[in-house]
Amino acid sequence: MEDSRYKANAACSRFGSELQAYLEGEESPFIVSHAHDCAPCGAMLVDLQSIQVAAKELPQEEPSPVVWANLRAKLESEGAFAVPACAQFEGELAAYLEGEASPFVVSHAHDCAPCGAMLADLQSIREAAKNLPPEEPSRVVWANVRAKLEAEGAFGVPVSGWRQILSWRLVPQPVPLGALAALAFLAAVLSMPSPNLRHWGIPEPASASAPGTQIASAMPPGEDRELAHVVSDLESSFRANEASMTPDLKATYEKSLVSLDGSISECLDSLQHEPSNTLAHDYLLTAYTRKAEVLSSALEFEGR
Amino acid sequence: MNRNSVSLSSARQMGRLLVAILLPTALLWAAGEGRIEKTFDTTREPRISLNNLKGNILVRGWDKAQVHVVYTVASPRLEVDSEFLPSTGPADKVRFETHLLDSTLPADQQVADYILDVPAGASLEIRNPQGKIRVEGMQADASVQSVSGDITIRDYSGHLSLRSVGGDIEVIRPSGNVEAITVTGNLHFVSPTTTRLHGTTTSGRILFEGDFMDRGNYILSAYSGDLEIVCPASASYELSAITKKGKVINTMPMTRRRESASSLGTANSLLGTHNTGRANVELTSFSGNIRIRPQY
Repeated sequence: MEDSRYKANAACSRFGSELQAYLEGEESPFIVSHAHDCAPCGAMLVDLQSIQVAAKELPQEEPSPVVWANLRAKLESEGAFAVPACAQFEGELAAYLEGEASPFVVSHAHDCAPCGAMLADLQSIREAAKNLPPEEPSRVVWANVRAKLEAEGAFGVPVSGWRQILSWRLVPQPVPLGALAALAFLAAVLSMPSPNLRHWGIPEPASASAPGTQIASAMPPGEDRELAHVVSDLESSFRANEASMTPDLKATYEKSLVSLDGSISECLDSLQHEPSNTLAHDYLLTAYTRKAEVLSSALEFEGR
Repeated sequence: MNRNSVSLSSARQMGRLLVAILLPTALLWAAGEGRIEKTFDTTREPRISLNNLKGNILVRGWDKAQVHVVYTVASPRLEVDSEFLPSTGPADKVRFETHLLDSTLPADQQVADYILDVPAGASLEIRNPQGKIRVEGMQADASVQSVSGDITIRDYSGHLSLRSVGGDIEVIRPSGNVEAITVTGNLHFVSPTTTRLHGTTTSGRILFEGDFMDRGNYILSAYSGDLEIVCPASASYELSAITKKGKVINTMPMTRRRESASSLGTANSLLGTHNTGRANVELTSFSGNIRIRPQY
C-alpha cells in the first residue's frame, strides 16, 4: 500500500516537472497517460489547456508607454543600453595609434582605468619600438616576398579612383596568404648558411633565348639556387613586357641590370675559387636581392 | 531604328560626353598652362603621399598646419588626383597622384612638376620614377623612391628611406636614421648628425663628408664603386674597412686591430680605432677602393 502511494506521488511529481514542456509543445506520452490515470493531474491539465486556448484568443494588448519607459529607464540605469564604451575604445584604438584624432579614445582612457592602462602600455611599446634599431629582415626574405607578390600581380600598374575600384570589383586578385606563408618558410630556409658553399659549381650555360644581360642561369647550387630562380622568373616577365616601357626608363633599368649581372657573375666566379668567402657570398645575395627589387620596380612601371 | 543608327547615336553621345569632359580640362590647362595652385588646412603631422610619373618635385617643410601645392602638368591629357582625408576639417591624409587620361600621350609630355609646402611634421611617401626630387626642412619619416631621378634631401630630422635605381642620392645634414640605396647612382652624405646611416650602391661611388656621432653606426657598401670618407681629425670611431679587390687607403692615425683569420679570403682590410672609437664605421666594397682622409 505504502509502495503504491509512493509510486503515485512520484508519478505526479514527474507530471508536474514535465508539464510545462508539454504545454509548450513537446511530445510527452507520460503526461498524456498520467493525466488519463490520475484524476487531479488530468483535471489540472484540462484546466491549463483551456486557459492556454483562451489566452491565445485574447486580443494583443500593448503595454502602456509608461511601462516601456520605466522598463527602459531601469535597464539604462543598469547599463544595458549604454554604448559599450570599452568595445568602442577597442574599435577606435588602432586608428588612434596610427595617428588619427580620436577625442573619445583620449577621454575614455582617462575615465576607464583598464583601457587607460592598455593605451599607456601600447604607447610605451610604440615609443620603445621607435627607438629600436631598424632591423632589416634577411635580403633573401625581401627578395622572395617581393618576387612572390610580383608574381601574384600585387605590383600591377597603379591606377587611381574609379579605375582602381572597378579593377578590384571586376578582377579581384587577392594574394593568397598560404602562398606567402610558404614563401616566408622558403625564405627562412634560404637565409640559412648554405652548406653547399664549398661546392659551387661551374655556371650552367645560358639558354639560347636568354638576352645578353641575363645571367640568372649561372646559378649557385643548393638553396641559393631558389633565389636565383626567383630572379630568373622576374627577369623573364620583364623581358616579355619591356617593349611597353618608355625608352629612357628602359635604359635606366638595363644599365642597372648590366651592373648587377656583372656583380653576380663576379661573385659566383669568386666563390668558385674561394667557397668560404663570406664577403663574396654577401655581395652575391645582395646583388640577387637588388636585382629582384629592380625587376619588380621595372614590372611596376612597364606600360606607363 | 536599326542597329547602325543605334551605334551611330551612341557614338555621338559618347563623343559629346568626351568633349564635355575634356573641353573644360583643355581650356583650364590652356588658360593656366596647366598650373594649379591650392592651399588647404591639415593637421600638424599629416601623412602625405605623392605618386608621379615624371617631373621635378620640391617639398619644403614649414611651420603652418597647411599644405600649399603648386603643380604644373605638361598636357591636358595628364591629370592630378588629389585626396584629403577626412573630407571635413583639417586633413590628416593627403594624396596626390598623377595619371594619364590618354595612354597614347608621348613620354615627353607625361610630365608634372610639383612644389609643395607642407607642415614640417608631415610624413612623406614620394614615388617619382623620372625627375629630380628635393625635400627640405622636414622632421617626420619619409620614403622616397625614384628610378632614374636624383634625390636630394636637406635638413631632415626624421627617418629617411631613399631608393633610386639609377639616380644619385644626396643627403645633407640629416639628423634621423638614414637608409639610402641605389644601383648605379652615387651616394653623397654631407654633415650628418644621424646615429644610424646605411648606404648601399652597386656601381656608384659613396662620399661621406662629416663627423661621426657618439655611438653612431655607419654602414656603407659599394660593389664596384669607390668609397671615400672625409672626416675631421677629431672624429672618434672604430673602423672596419674591407675590399675584396680594391685598396684601402687610410691617412688618418689609426690603432690597428689584429685581423682574425679570415673568411674574407684574399680581401684587403683595415680594422682599427681612431681616437677613442666612439662610433662604429663599416665600409665594404668588392672591387672598389676605400679611402679615409681628414677634412681640411
